[in-house]
Amino acid sequence: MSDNVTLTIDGVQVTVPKGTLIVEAAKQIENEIPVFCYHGKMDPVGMCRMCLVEVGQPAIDRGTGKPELDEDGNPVVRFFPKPMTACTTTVSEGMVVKVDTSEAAVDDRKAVLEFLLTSHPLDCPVCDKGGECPLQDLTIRHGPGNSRFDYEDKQHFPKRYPLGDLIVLDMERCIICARCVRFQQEIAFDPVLAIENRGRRAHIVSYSKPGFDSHYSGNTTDVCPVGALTTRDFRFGARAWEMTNVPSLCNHCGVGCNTVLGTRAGTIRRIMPRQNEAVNELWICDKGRFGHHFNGSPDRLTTPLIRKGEELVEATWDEALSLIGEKFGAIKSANGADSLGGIAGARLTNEDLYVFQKLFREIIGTNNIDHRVGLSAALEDETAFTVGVGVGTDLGSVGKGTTILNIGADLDQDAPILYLRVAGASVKRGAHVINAGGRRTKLDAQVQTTLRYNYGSAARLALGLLASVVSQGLVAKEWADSRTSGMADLEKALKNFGADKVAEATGLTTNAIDAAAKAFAEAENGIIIFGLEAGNDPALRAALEALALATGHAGKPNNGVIAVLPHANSRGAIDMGILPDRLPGYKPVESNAGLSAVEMLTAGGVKGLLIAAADPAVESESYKQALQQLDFLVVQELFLTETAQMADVVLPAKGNAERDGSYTNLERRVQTFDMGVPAPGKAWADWLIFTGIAGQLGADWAYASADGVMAEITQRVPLYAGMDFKNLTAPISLQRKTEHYIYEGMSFTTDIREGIQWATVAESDSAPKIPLRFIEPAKASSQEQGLTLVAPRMLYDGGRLLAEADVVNAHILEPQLMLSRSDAQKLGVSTGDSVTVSQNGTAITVPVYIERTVSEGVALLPRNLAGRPAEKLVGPNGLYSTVKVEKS
Amino acid sequence: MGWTEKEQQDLEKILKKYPADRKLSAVLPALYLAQREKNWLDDDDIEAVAEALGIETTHVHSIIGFYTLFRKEPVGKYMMEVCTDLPCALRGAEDFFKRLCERMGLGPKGGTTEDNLFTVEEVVCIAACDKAPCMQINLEFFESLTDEQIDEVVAGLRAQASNNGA
Amino acid sequence: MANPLLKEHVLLRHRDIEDIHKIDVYLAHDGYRALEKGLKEMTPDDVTNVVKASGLRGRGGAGFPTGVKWGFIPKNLNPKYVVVNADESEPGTFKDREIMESNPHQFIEGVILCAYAVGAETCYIYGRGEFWTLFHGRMQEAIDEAYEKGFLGKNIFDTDFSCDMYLHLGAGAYICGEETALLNSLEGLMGQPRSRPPFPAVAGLYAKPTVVNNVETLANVTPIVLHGADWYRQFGTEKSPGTKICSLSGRVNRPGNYEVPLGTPIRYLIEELGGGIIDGKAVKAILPAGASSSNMGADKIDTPMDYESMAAAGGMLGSASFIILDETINAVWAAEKNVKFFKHESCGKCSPCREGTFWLTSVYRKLREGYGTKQDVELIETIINQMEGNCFCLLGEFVVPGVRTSLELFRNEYESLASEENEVDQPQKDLIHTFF
Ligand SMILES: Cc1cc2nc3c(=O)[nH]c(=O)nc-3n(C[C@H](O)[C@H](O)[C@H](O)COP(=O)(O)O)c2cc1C
Ligand code: SF4
Ligand code: FES
Repeated sequence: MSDNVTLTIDGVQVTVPKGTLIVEAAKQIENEIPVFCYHGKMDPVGMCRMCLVEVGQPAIDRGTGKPELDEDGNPVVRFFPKPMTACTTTVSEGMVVKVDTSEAAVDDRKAVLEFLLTSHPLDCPVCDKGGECPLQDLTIRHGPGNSRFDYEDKQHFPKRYPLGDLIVLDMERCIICARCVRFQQEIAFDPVLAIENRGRRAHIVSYSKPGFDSHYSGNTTDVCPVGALTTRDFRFGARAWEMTNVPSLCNHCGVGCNTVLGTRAGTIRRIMPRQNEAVNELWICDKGRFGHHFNGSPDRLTTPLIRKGEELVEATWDEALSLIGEKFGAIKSANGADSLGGIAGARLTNEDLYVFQKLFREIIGTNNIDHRVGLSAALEDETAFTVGVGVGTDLGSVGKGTTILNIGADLDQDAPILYLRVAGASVKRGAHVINAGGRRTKLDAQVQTTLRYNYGSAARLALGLLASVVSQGLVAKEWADSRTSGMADLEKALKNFGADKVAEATGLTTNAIDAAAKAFAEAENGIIIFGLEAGNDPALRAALEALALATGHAGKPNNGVIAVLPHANSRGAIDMGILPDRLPGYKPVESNAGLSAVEMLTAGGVKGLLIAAADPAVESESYKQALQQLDFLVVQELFLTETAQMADVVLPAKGNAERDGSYTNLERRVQTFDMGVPAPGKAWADWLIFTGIAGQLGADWAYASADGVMAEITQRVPLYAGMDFKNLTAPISLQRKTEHYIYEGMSFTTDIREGIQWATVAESDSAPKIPLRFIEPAKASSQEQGLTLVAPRMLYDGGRLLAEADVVNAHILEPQLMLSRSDAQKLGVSTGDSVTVSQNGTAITVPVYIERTVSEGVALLPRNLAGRPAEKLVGPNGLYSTVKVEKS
Repeated sequence: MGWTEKEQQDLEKILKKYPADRKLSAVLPALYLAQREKNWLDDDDIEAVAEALGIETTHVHSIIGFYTLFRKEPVGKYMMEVCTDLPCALRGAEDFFKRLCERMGLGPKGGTTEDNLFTVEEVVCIAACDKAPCMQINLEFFESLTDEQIDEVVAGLRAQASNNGA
Repeated sequence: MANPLLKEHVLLRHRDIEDIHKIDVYLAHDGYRALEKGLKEMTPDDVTNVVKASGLRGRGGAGFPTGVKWGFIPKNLNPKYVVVNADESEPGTFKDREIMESNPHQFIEGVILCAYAVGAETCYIYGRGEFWTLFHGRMQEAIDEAYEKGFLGKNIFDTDFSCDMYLHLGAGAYICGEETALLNSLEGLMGQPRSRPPFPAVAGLYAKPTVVNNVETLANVTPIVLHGADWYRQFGTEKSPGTKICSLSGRVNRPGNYEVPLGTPIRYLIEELGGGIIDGKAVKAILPAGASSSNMGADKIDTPMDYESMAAAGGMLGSASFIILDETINAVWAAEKNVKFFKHESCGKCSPCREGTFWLTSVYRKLREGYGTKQDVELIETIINQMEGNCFCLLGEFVVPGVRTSLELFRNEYESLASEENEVDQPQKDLIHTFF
């Protein structure tokens, strides 16, 4: 039996896989059946009845079991007496569907539209959806022309009802398609929207605290086919047709969501998702959607500043650059090249970072460069080079047969859209997800297996899993032998990580460890994800790399490792060699490794420092002191940050909406974004600033554009071969577009680009064997008394870029210590009480918040919040420590 | 609200009826339990149900809104629900309802008496059509009613309420 | 009360035997002998087959052959469930309540037999919320008695078969009588219908194979298993065998439930059993299946009450809830009552029902309040045409026949309410509904 079915829709034949819905089959031949409730990403519900079509099937002769034929020998088609919903009916062989060719079906759809319009207000002229409204569009195409309904007799609901801080509901416009409710249930796994009441009184509600409590709420405004849900932010911002839609990328985390900047008159009016099935599908998180207001902030730096005594005064680019050239030159000739250094943040583009390292390595002559400050210092990764997920990996499609092991990433906070995809793989498609972490996270509710380990034992857990794979005889021997070396030594080393020992260190049972190891090893596809809360431990990474290799889960699509790095271009920063000991393309520095950021930020480290897109001064008091002792500090920034305030020269940089460039996401996908709006004042792109500084120091580089820099990268960094802007920005082909891309419910168009992933070592047959590494994990800290203070990352943090997004501001936590109810009771405190948290003589005072998700013995104090209290206790790069908590 | 010990036990009994991973099934019985005391549900009651079943508060509200026997606004201690649907109306239920409202000192659409003891409202068919006029008082059937019987019943409930109050 | 057409009641046995709701009385009158016979002497398939052979058809409204439905349950998927539809919310229907109040054990026995036949070990009886006292009283007591006597619980009659039975109350929603809405409600969701496929037989409660049957249907199973298919077929017609409880209400002298062999003419029900029309008035219309049915004119009074004849006469047997209108009743008023019922009960899931019932009520109201025009009468017709066939479930479709036949039979009453004067715009401020 064939897996395909051929049917006829309005006279056109089409062949599609079995199980396809009529509405999808029709799309293949560009017959657009009108829909409201149907959305390709959600389960069909058949509620709105807009997609009614006439459906017939070949008649079968009861006697012979053969198709009945008419006089001309054609099969007789018997039509169902009632129209069918194309969105819930699957195709069958020989089916005949009439969409526009059936008068009855055309009338039925007219009727449905007339019904829908009976409750719809006539406020299109003031509605934000106007111009890109499916209801408007379909009314014009399929509507009855006029309605006989009595316009006085409409159901009234409050207008402009805030469902939360971010989303406004105009219930009168709602047509009860439940797309928003279903999105929250089926895709975001935050069922905080529902329909209350029934019949005509049914309306959308949210009773969560705070209202509409979800990181994904903005997407409901996209899937809403009318103007019922709008963002607080964009209300009356611009008419849809007046905006220019610019392809862009989100710059808030490592997922690399594709976005569209809706710009008008030189400002960003809104950010919407841009479809990329391999990255963000149709979604973006609320941080990405609402966190763009820094771009147009009046506080942006607009001109270079030069220190004159206590003051920073405005200067020209010439003055600023020549001063830098002069001072850096002088420091170099007096103290040598290694008395200079540079720190560049991972929100810079590949082009910026490439030029940055070239400036230091080739022109100044030092390896003193690093990107690891702030969050970047708390999580590193080199495993992507060898065992990163294979090219073509698509978390949006994996399901049954795939095991995903997540260690220490709170995906809903750290990489929201990755969360949707991993949770979806588990719930919707039956992948086995093992969520290992030190505390309860949102993903726990969507997975089959959770492993709760003691903080600090993640590396031991990874080694325990590896040892269990070996002892259960689950090593993919042939493959591992052909690709790796050192298996025997590794096995020897693993002797010390028997299940008993690991169970003791991690607090898990041996059964749980063995079962997880088996589920991972035996899966057809295995993906490992790790994040911040696993600890920044080379032993962990070596173990995970070996685990992927030993089980054969590397070197092919949907297999390998993903590090949940914190920034939009964290991966690119490593790729571009923004490390003191590694050159672009993961080449080790041969002889003279440079100083790390921490070393440069230690008093006496270097004398002159260039800091771009990083703010170490807020991270720690000791960094601040070190910065004060520098002879010369240059800061390249969007804002006058604390670090910038200490600088001798401050250079205004462009934000990513104001320029073009490329980022590499946490799955190693290199993607480009375009320029959307002009930069304020005299800001320059960072690569141009670095080029200018290089020029002062004698270089004669001629980069004219980001595109030109990328051209050089493709020449010099083999991983990036072939990735010039022409390829990176090419829109996908029409065929792939109709195959995979839907743009359901969104009426605007922009380019769909897929980006390019670079290939890992494990993917190459000809690469040398990968040596299996074993690194002894650090000794578990002595069993001190007290609570384990953990400093996780929150999506809404105190970072500068979010500070301007007023609508999100309310969601940024004030520093507070989150405790389990039982620990709070032991301490005799309740929510709102103050406690003193101390460790080795450092003490801070914060209010307590009793939080259901916190396990006993653990206290959470998120990092990156105002005043950085968590960092004071765990250190700027640390994750956790044992603390004493007392009622104050 | 928080459950009393008795309610906690009842809740556990209810939960036993459904598979362990299908706690959500208990939402209607749990709401009946939460509503038993005062005939309507306040925010705390709703929160308590959500917590007991481990579900979103929003979902509980949605359930309350869908089913007419749950109420989020205060009502009388005794809910008098009079059927005025077609079969009963054919036997004079509409007039009966009007008279009842008058006797209870309420307007023609019913409502709650001043002492907050009785709420009178019209409902659709309650499966007692052969015994019109009929009504339910706190879900107990009262059928083939005459005006005099009503007076008796009301007087009885008043007495019961004041005894309980004393 | 004697019923000249039946020597003994098959279902309303309490009318022949006092206190049969008590288990001892029930046991003294063949109680649980059918269960014993089924479990000890018959295989599950035998039970299904005798029900098939009896020709029993679902009494919940649709009239689907019960044995055939049981046969759809896949054998190898476990667990399975039996869910009893005791929602009984159709206006004019009050038969299941009487069975459960007065003859509960016969019904419970039927449920257990059904569970045995399909291989289910858990049964839920879903009753409308208004049955609170019945479910917390008589029904729970009867189930407790059955557990005590070992007819429920582990290893019934020392066989391998175990069965649990639970009561579950809805909370005021007619739509929960629709079987998939009922299942959603039982799962703790809003009672909105599900799309089919999958059918409950394959993926019902908790996505497991599930039989949904009406109370009266299952009460029939007990005597069928005990006495056999042939015995059962002595009642009723070839295609509609057995007896049926008719709920008679409206303008008759003796409203109530009457059990009759299927095929008995409506006239017998109204005139003999129901004692004729109040004050000797004439029948104006018969609604044979509650609010959901068409109006049958007085000329149809001799139609035999079986599934085929009723359909042929332009009505339907449905749950056999005969609401009788007499000549004193205004047809528009009666139709408006039902339209309002459906508007109140529309679940809101699909647009034609949600909006159509709302729109219909406004037009009816306009007519009643004297603002109506001839176009409004036509509009009523248009609206039901636009609803017909387009709704998600049958609730919306149920609105159509009543309104359509009311218009067909009594159009003059509609038109007399419409006035030419109203053709010009009228102030309609009072028609604005507000919410919140
Ligand atoms: C809107 C609607 C309401 C219904 N209400 C009831 C009801 O109250 N009781 C009932 O037994 N069946 C009712 N049904 C029929 C059920 O969906 C289903 O057909 C029946 O429970 C099957 O049982 P049976 O085969 O024993 O009749 C209703 C159907 C619809 C569409
Ligand atoms: S017809 Fe539609 S709105 Fe009406 S009850 Fe069925 S699904 Fe709900
Ligand atoms: S019913 Fe098919 S799109 Fe809504």
